Amino acid sequence: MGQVFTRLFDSLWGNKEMRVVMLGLDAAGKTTILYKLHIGEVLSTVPTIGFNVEKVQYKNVTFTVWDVGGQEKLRPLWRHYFNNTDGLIFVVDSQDKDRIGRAAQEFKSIIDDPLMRNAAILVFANKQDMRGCLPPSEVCQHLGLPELRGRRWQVQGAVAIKGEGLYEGLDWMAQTLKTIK
Amino acid sequence: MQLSRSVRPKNTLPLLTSTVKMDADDPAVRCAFRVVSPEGTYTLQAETEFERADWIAALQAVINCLLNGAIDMDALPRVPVRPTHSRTSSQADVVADFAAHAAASASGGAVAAHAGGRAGGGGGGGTSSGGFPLTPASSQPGTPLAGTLPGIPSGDGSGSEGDGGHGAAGGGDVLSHPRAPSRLGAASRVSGGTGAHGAAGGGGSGGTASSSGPLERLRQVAGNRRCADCGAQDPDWASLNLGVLLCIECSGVHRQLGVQVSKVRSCTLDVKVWEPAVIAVFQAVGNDASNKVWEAGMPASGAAAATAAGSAAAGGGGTEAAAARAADSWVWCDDDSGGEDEEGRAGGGARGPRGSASGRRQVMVDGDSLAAAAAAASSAAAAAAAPPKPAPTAPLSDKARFIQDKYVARAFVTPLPREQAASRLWDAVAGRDVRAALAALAAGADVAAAYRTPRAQRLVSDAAGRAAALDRGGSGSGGGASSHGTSSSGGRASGDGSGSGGIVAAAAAAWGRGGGGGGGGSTAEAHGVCGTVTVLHLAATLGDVALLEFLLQNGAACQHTDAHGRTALPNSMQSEVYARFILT
Repeated sequence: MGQVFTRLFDSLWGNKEMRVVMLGLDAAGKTTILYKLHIGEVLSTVPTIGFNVEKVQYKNVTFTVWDVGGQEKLRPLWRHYFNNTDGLIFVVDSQDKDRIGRAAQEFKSIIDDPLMRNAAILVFANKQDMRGCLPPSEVCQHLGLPELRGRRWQVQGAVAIKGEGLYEGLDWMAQTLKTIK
Repeated sequence: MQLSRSVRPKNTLPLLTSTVKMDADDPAVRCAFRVVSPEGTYTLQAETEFERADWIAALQAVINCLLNGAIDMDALPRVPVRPTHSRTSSQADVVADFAAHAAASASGGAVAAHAGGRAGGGGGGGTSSGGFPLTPASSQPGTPLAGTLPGIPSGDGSGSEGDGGHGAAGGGDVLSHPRAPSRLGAASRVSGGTGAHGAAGGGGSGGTASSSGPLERLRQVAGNRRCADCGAQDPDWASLNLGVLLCIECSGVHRQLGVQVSKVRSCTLDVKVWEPAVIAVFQAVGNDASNKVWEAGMPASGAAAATAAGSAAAGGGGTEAAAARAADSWVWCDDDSGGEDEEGRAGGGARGPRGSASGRRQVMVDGDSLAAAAAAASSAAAAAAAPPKPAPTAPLSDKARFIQDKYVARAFVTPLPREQAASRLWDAVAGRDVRAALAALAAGADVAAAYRTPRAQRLVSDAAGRAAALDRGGSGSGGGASSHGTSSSGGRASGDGSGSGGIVAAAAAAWGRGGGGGGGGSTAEAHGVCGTVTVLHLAATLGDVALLEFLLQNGAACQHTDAHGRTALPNSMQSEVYARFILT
């Protein structure tokens, strides 16, 4: 009963639900971002075997965020989470220059998937507080975003452990998804 | 029963892409839990809290097994095999259309129990799950990975013949037999209670790939049967640059430190990374050898450290004189790079967190100086004050503090003056000794530093001479120049032209390769006759794959160019290390 009322109010106030999948190489900071957004705290995380899913309320949008493990053998599972996805959050460890090429490959194979054609693409260039990290503009170049045609994308510098940049990213995603829907 | 996408039973979920959550959407439902997957969510209800914990542990165990175990769905037998090893299969009150694969899944559940003990919060590690009826919140058939408790091929039950239960929190001979979630009616069954302890994290099911994977080879190295930082058994995570195996919790802490300190990978979930060169590094280092370096000053040996500090203090001598002596043998090449310096160092080892300490080290010039004594004393004091090494069961925060102390603050390592550490690093590389190189790096040597001392050049050219002699003995060494040309234009090896002029001519002649790529020409004269070389040049010339890999993983600047504008790596084009670092 309670839920019925909640839904009624949601529709009256223009609340929206959005399904977002958060991907990226292992140790990029996906789980840290998820729980920073969900409960506002930095948890001590261990590598995600499988996935986490949580609801994140921001302004009048409820994001259901699927955070899927990034180890090599888990990456083939990513596509199982693509169906009905409104947005992609791709997280990059900006300090890990050795693997930015690998990250770009994985990114490309995600956004080329037919199920992801209409998804808004938000890239978190995470760990911007670390020495010698790539700035968001370089992460953008490495991922080949400027050459992307007909897609909505945004690169956002972020420091997950301080929460910097996360809500700016969500803000963009909420705005973008509203215009799409 | 065929578990392909077309005939997957109704009301099932592919567990491979599912997770279990304690909470329910409706707080009024007691003892509820949810199985969440991209295809839908099932809310289930257990009769008691205890049973709920059991269910969650068992389900999570199966999921972990599926994820960890490299299970090739296509390779699974279409007709699940009933386990023969289950002590309790006779008790199984098999119901519903889950019967067949549920029976098989019992073995899966048991196998997974090992992995699941951790994820499942330790509870009911030895219990096993069976099929379970589900009321779909939404249900749509059709995933290629129809992993609905797919019945892991038990075969002979290899890896599952354990004796019912390490981690049998559910009580002795577990088999807790959780009844079907009551709200949902239809009964379920449970069988099989073999706590498959023996099977290493997911290799349990016969015929999976991981048993023959890198894990077994890595674990054969001394000390690698226990986590390097907390001693937990059977670690299956690894730090590529430190060359150690870790448990999943400690690996989580390592990941927080950033890739400059530790590059964490899974032994089972990461595949391509386990190249022969990488495994060679682990075989050269290993947990025991690594801990001898990083925990040298741990409380156990705290007394020895204090003594050392005392004697060092007593012998404190003239700093200036010591500086002169040190400078005599090793000259820091400060003029080497300018702009490139920033890049090279930023890309290098664990320098970030060490920044503050290195300032202090620069004033210390020799082992008998007062500064070194002070440093040794402070390190000994830190070691004495530090809490002992955490146990596997210690809280994560304790582990985090210890790992931070160990690898970032380097509280248990006695730092060496920069020149001395560098000298040790060069000796280690010249002697092709990875462990000694590790000790030198831990003591503060800069792996990316470039040198222009006669000694460094002599080491490189000698090695090059020997290599060339070998080369001539074997096949011709043609094509070197061209291979170098391509490499210096690509990826990480892009020549930045910072090479300084001069020597290493002997080496060049020995290599028989013209100065192919990056232009070191114009800046050559500015630096006089000395070219600068790094340890990577030396390692590459020696052609030691493990050593090269170790130095590269620890931030050696492979873009540094020698006198002829050549980067270190093209000299060792024969090794796959190079290709991998360029391509990945």
